[in-house]
This record gives sequence, C-alpha cells and structure tokens, in this order.
Amino acid sequence: MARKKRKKLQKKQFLSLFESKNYQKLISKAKQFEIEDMSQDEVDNILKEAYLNLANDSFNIGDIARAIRDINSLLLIDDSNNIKLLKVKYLCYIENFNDALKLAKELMSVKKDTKLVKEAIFLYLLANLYTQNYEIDLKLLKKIPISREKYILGLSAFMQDDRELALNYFNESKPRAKIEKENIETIKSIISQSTIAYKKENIKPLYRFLLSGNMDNLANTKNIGAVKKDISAQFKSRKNNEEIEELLDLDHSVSIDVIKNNTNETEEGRLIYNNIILLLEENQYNEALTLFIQYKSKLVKLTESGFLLLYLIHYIQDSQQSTDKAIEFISSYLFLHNSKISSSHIDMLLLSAFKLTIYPATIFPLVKKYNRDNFIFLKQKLIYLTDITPSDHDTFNKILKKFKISYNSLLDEKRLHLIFLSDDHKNTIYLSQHISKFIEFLIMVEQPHYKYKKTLFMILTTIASLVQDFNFNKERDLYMKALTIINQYIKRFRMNILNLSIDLKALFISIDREESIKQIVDKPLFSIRDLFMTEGDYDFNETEYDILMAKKISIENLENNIQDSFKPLKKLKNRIYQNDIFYTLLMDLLRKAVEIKYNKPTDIIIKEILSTLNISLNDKKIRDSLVKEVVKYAITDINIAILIFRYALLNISKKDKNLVWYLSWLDGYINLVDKYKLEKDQLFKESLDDFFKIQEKKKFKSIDAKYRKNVKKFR
Amino acid sequence: MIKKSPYIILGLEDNFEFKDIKKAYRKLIREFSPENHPKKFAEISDAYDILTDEEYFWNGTITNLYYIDIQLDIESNKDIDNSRHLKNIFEVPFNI
Repeated sequence: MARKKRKKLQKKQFLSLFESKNYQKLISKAKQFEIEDMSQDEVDNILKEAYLNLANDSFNIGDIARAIRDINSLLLIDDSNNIKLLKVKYLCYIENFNDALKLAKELMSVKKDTKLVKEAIFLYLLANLYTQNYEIDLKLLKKIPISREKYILGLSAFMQDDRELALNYFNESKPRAKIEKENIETIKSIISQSTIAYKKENIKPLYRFLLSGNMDNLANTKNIGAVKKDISAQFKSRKNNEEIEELLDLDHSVSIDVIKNNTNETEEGRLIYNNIILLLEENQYNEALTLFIQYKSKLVKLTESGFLLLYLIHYIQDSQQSTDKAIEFISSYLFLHNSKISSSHIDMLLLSAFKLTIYPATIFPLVKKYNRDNFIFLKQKLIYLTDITPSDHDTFNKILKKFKISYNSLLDEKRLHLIFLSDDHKNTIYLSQHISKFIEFLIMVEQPHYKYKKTLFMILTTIASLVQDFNFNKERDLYMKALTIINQYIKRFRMNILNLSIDLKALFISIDREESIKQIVDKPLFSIRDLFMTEGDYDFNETEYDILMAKKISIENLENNIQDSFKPLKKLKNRIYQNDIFYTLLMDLLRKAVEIKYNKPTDIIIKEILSTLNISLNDKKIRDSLVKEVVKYAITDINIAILIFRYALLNISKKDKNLVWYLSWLDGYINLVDKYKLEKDQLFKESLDDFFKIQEKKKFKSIDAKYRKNVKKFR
Repeated sequence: MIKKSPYIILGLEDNFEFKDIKKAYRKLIREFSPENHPKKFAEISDAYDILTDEEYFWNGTITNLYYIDIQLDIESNKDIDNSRHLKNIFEVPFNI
C-alpha cells in the first residue's frame, strides 16, 4: 500500500513558529507536515534547538520530568554526548541517581572532550554522594577543577555530619564566576545557620528556598513535597512568632490568623483585645469593630473590654450594624463585671445601650436590673410627658437635687427631643401644650444642683427659641410661662442677665414689644446647627436688650426698696447714644418711682438717673432729642413728661438760655401744658415770657414758625 | 492615646470587687510615694481616678484605649535549620 503523503507546511510558517518560541507547536507541526523547501537535516537542526530550549525552560521552572522527556526526544534526533551530559544532570535533579551514574560513567570514557569528561566525572561523584556512597574515588577527584574538588569533599563531609570540615572545604572552594561564589556562600550560611542579607537574585532555587521559604522554580521531584511542607511550616511559624512578638510589644496590629495559629485559648482573648486596640490606633475602625463583634464572647470576660466597648460605641452607631450584638455584649458584661466597676461605668454602659436602639423600652428591663429607674423616668416620662402625676414632679425634683453626669446627659436629650418635636409639629397646639407641660416640670424643681446650670440654660434657650416661633397674641400664656421659668432660673443660678444666650435675650424683647422678633430664615433641614444650636435670627440689637434688663432690675430694686436702685444703669453709661430707647427708659423709671411713691423727690430721682448714666442736659444730642421723646411720652403719661420738662427748665444755666434748643424746650413745655389743660403756674408764665423775650431779641429763623404760632395762641 | 490598663496598674486580679480598688490604691501609694517615685505615683493616681472618679471616667473613656499586659512564651527567633535538606535534594552551586 502506498504510504500516505504528508501534507506540506510552508517554510516561512515553520520558521516563524521557531522565532516566536512556540516550540510545542513547532514540534507538533514537524511531526504532521512535510516542511517545504527544507531538508530533513535542516528541520532536525531546528527541532534540536527547539527541544533543547524546551528542556531548558522546563528545567528552569522546576519541571524536571518534562525536561527529561524533552531531552529523550532530543536524543532521538541528536544523541551527541553533550545532550547525554544534559540528561545526566536532569537525572540527578530528579533523583534518579542510578541511571545518572550509568550514563555519567559512559560519558567519562569519551575521548577527546576533556571538558565533557570533567563534567561527567563531577556529576558522577556527586550522584554517588547522594546515594550515600561516601567513598570518593580520589583519582577521579583530581581530574576536576579544584573549586569543584573542594566542593565534593565539603559535601561529603557535610553529608557525614561534619559541618566544621564541610565549611572548611567550602571556604577553599573558590569558583571564579560570581554567581557560583554566591551559591557557595549561601550554602555556608545555610549550614552554619548564620544570618545572611538575602539579596541574591540568581542563586539556585533550592538554596533560596532553604534560606527564605521562597518556592519559585523549585525542582518538582518526588521528595520535594514533604520538604516544602516542612520548610513552609517552619517559616510560617517563625513569621507568626515574629508577628506575635510585635503584637506583644504593641508595635502594630496583626491578622487574626496569626493570633489563632500561635496561642492557647487563655491568651487568645487577651491578644485579640490588644490587637483591637492597635487597630483603633491605626484608624482601622471597621476591622476593629468586626473583630470585636466576632470575638465578643471571649472579650466579655476581660474587665477592660468595658472601656473598649465605650470607645467603639459611636462607630457601632455610625455603622448601623451589629447594634443588637453590642447590646447583648453590654448585658453580658454587666452580668459578669457589675460588682467590679464604678457606678459611672454602669451608667455609661446603660446609656450606650440606649444609643444603640431606636426602641429605648427594650433596654428598660436591663436598666431596672441595675436599679436605674431614674433613667427610665428621664427617657420616658420626661420625654413624652404623658400621665403626669404629682409624684413625677417629686421624682424629677430628686433627680435634679443630686448631680450625676448620666442624669445631665439624659436631661440634654430632652432638649434634643424638643427640637425634633418642633420639626414635626411646628407652631401646633400640640407643641405649645408640650412645652407648657415641660415648663411646669421645671417650675416645680426646688433646688437644682448648680452643675446642671449649663444644661438647664441650654434647654431654656431651646424653649425660648421654639416659643418665639408662635404668634405672641395667640400664645401669650406660653410666652409668659417661658418668661416665668427663665426668670426663676436666672434668680436660682444667679445668672448675669447680660450673659444670657441670644434666644433668651430675644424672648425678653419679644415680650416687651408684644410680638415675636424672631425672623424666618431659610435653613437647610437637617443641618448640624439645627440640632445643636437654637440660635435664631432676631430683629433686635444688644443695647436694646441691655437697656430693657437694666430697666427691669432697676424697677425690681425700686419695688423692693433696695438702696442705689439705679445701679444697673451704670453698665449703660457709655452706650446711651446708640439707642433712642434710652429716653423711654428714663421716663419709665421715673414713672415707676412715682407709681410706688418712692421716698425721694422726683427731681432727685431724675438727677440720680442722669448721673448714673453719666449724662447731662447740657449734652447737645440729649438736648436735641429728649424734647421730642418727652412730648411723645406725654401720650403715655403727661405727668411724667411735665416732670421732666420742669426739671430740665429749672436746671438750665443762664448762659444756655439764649440758645435755640432752650427755646425748643420752652415751646414744648408751654404747648403741653396748654394741650392737656394743666395749671398755668408760675413756671408756665416765666417760660412763656422767656420764649417771647428771647425770640424777639434773637430772631432765630428756626424758631420763627413756633413764635408766630405761640403768638396766636397765647397773646 | 494608648495607656496601660488601670486594673493592671493597681494589681487587680480577675476576682476583685469595686471596694478593692481603693485598698489596692492605698497600698500602692504607700509603696510608691510621690517624692521618691513621682512617675509611678502619677500612674497609680491616674489609674485610680479613671476607675473611681465620675468626671475623670467620662472624660477619659472616649479618648483613651487601655492595653493589657500579656506574658507569653514564644519560640522567638528560633533559627530554622534547613540544612539537612541539602543532603536529600540535589543541587549544585556551579553552572553545569
């Protein structure tokens, strides 16, 4: 039968496979196809090189079995001694020493290739050692280069456990090539277990592996599996130990596997605890939290974990995860450690539990267990203000008598609750009634501890702000209740009224003006500012408030017959020019003094007020403005207006009497008397005479119209 | 800030009660007076305050982390003797 003809492959294609190093495909194509325009020898040469490269590549990556297969295929094409020598080497690497010895012996008798023979001898001697045949043929030994000779002797000594002798021989083996020198040095380090700076990139894979555990390109032989396992375990253990030491020294956190691989059960919890501490210090909050939750059953046994939990609380809150587990932890921790920790610590843990749930009632059983019923009161009764009884007021009273930071914290939650409530029920009756009820609670408090002052005034500030969202006329009672409670607490805590918050000051002004001065400002719905600050925008200035307060206190002093009643006015003495309300202040105070029949003549009172404010009627601004304000005030109280006029006119010095402003004062006075049909007494007559006399003499243009009018009226 | 556990500073073992804290504190400050051992005294006082003073506790809790002293025997820096594998696995330091 005729042999089937093989298909043909173009030479170009065949060579391109070789150039692209696609040797497997090249070999396969050579078997299947006849290569065009190439003789068999040419093809064989290409194939030899392909097989050689393949074998080399396989050897370099440690696949010795593959390398041998390729060499065997190569030997079918080229059974030259060099290829056989290569096979001897591969056989040694794959630990097939018997075949290696046989082939090496065959090559040792080759003539006229000294280099090949020396290599064969060297491999032969080596293979013998690896078969535990330590009798070295010294004649053969002398035929190889001295560096290799010393190496053989050294290896023999080492294999017979004489490390010292081995090292001596290795020291004497001084190959020329740098990489061979480095390999020898590496062997010496491995044998002497000395530290070596491992920087050598090109040392043999086995040496690198023994030194560092790096398995790259390690020859895949039958013994290597167990060795890999042993050495990897040793290195892993050493690394683990090093990391554990770093953890013990608090250098840095480690992975949980390191802890679990190294320690016994007793120490594991403590190591995990410290590891979490380090993670937190390294700002790895998520990892810390994950570990905490995962190992909470171990951590809970440590008293210190109570601190850790408190540190982690806001991360748990932020993450919105594991809150249930954290609450479980708190419950277990308290069960185990409640007799060891302070009352504050227990408080804080319970308050933290509240923070972790939107259903505070679920924490109540735990709270009750540790006798913190007052927490329940502050969380429930004070927040919702339902079914209030007299005993609730008593309870609140007792709570505020004694200071505890936990109570203070819960009290502040009421403030936040009011803010949230106002978002949902802005300006509604519900809100107004709620605030009203809460104020009643505050009113009933007899002796709040001074340390609650800051929190209470923040609450009052919130109340003041919320109240001013309501229309004054519709919620007058609410405004007045708020004012009452604020005044009560100002007195109780001896607050300086000038140091109150803007919202509180504004409330005083709103009540004085009988309308809310709070301005509606567009704010983002959920700004942090909304949550923590109630400072609104108000239409008033500080001086107006200060005048109002000074007046308020001065009036209180008058009513209580306190000496130096007008002392509060001293604070205003350099600021009266800023505000026209000052004039009203003067007249309101005088009016009050007259009303309560203050035991001083009105002239003295006026003098006292003016001197306290450090102003004089000779002051130009006062002179010009006061007369207008007095005439305006006459509508409120004509008597007071007349008293001011009388005082002013009787106390003006002679030299000022020829001036325009004096004529304005006279004009104001005489027309008021006339308008209100008051008695035209001696002062009136003198004032009228003065007016005409001076104007007729001085002929002031600005007074001319007044003159003509008065002439018509009074002459 | 990482500080040593106040329980460890005061020598409080696992089964103590809250009232033992003061006893432990008093015992230690007798031993470590402020004149002779100012740093140690400060450490002991700080630990005592953390555990017993309400304000100190609340202020310190969310800023401080407390580590535990751990005694553990580690086979550290044990030299790895892998040289025995040189006997079993063929390798040659020369280019052949």
